[in-house]
Amino acid sequence: MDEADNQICEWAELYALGGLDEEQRLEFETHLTGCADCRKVVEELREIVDVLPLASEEVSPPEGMKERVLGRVLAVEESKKTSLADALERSTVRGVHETIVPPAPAPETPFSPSAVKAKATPLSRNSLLRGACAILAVAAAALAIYSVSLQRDVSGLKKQLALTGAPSTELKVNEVVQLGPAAQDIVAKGLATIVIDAKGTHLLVQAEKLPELSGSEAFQVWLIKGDVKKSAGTFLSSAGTGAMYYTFDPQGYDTVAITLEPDGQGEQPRGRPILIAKIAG
Amino acid sequence: MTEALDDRELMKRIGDKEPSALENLYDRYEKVIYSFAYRMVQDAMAAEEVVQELFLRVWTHSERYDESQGKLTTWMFALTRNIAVDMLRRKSVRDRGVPVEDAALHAVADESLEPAVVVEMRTEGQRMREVLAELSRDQLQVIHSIYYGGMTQQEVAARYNIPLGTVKSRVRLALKQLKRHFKAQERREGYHG
Repeated sequence: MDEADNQICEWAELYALGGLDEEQRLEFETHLTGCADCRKVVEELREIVDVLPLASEEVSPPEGMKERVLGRVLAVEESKKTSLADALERSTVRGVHETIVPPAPAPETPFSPSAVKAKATPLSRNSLLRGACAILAVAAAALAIYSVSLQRDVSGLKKQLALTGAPSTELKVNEVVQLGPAAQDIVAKGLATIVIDAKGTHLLVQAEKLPELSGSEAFQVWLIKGDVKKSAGTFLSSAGTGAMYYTFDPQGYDTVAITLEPDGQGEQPRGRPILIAKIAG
Repeated sequence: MTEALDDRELMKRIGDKEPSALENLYDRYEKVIYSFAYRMVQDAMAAEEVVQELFLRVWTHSERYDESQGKLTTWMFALTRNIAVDMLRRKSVRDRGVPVEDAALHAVADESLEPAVVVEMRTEGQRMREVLAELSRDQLQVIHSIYYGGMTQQEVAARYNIPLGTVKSRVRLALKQLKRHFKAQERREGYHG
């Protein structure tokens, strides 16, 4: 072993801990293939380094993280599979309702759906292509989550195997609506997908280009029927995008809306409406 | 019941694109992965982003996990660290803070429902914390900066104004001690895992 090799051998601990830069790392990995001593050192140290992540003090994940993470992961994956044309076709086949930017009755309260509708602008309609892609992503995520809920039903698992084993495209999306901006200065856009099955009615909301959050602010999704506004949950955005999954009892809600709230604790809307759409409920 | 599936079986099902398997894996490791990501990036939203990217990679590239190369957690932790390091690097290195040694964060765990594998990880984590506490301040500094802070040896040398050779020797000594003490504690506690 020459002197250069000896010097590289001294990187074994730094390599195991992750302290080499990219170039050094590649150099060391090349060296590893021919140096049994270093392989042994690295192998032994790996047992220790592997435990370092566990030494992090436990921190409780933010509320709703699971739904957001799984919703996005499954949506991203599914959206890769299908072309835009497929998305449009499938949306039609599944009886997707048309995008709704309804006419405008007189404004009432700060968070009256009719009030925000009155402010809807062409901004909400200029993104059909992107919207179609997003429709697919959301619908796919809803289908995937629907599939998860089926599979969770352990007692009925065997009976449902045939169903869950079938391609997710066989599942029914009952309604997809595009969420429109609630004010002129909002560029956000989003989709609400509703899936109904034996377990209930499921709502999947996904939005992008959302305003940045600060402090304890959070986005909150509301199901609205007249004056009744029911929280469907909160979510945080990541790089302007966010998603949320919610199961609810259909009670004739006619509107779904997203507001930017000072925190995620409110039972009634206090913040600014961001996105809104009519739903058939 | 899927709860009892081992990691290998779960990964096989994830490879078959079973969302329930991904959910199962998520439930099993959410807390440890999130805590580790939080420890590195020191921000709840950024940590959630790391977790999301990790599970996206697990879901889309499950075939990259080679069980002959080690435990699933080894692979997932390495991915988590890579994602977090990339995130930290997108920020200016100069602005980057070194993750604080864990203070009393809001650690709330409902241990009654946790599978054995999670309980075991918690025990190992506690053991490692105790062993880390035995390191000298200088040794801890290099471990924290490199492993949790994602710094290279050059960056540590520059930040703390110490020669590269010193960084290297501190890392070597720190890992040697960790290994010795960790093994000794395992023996003391009669650990057979």
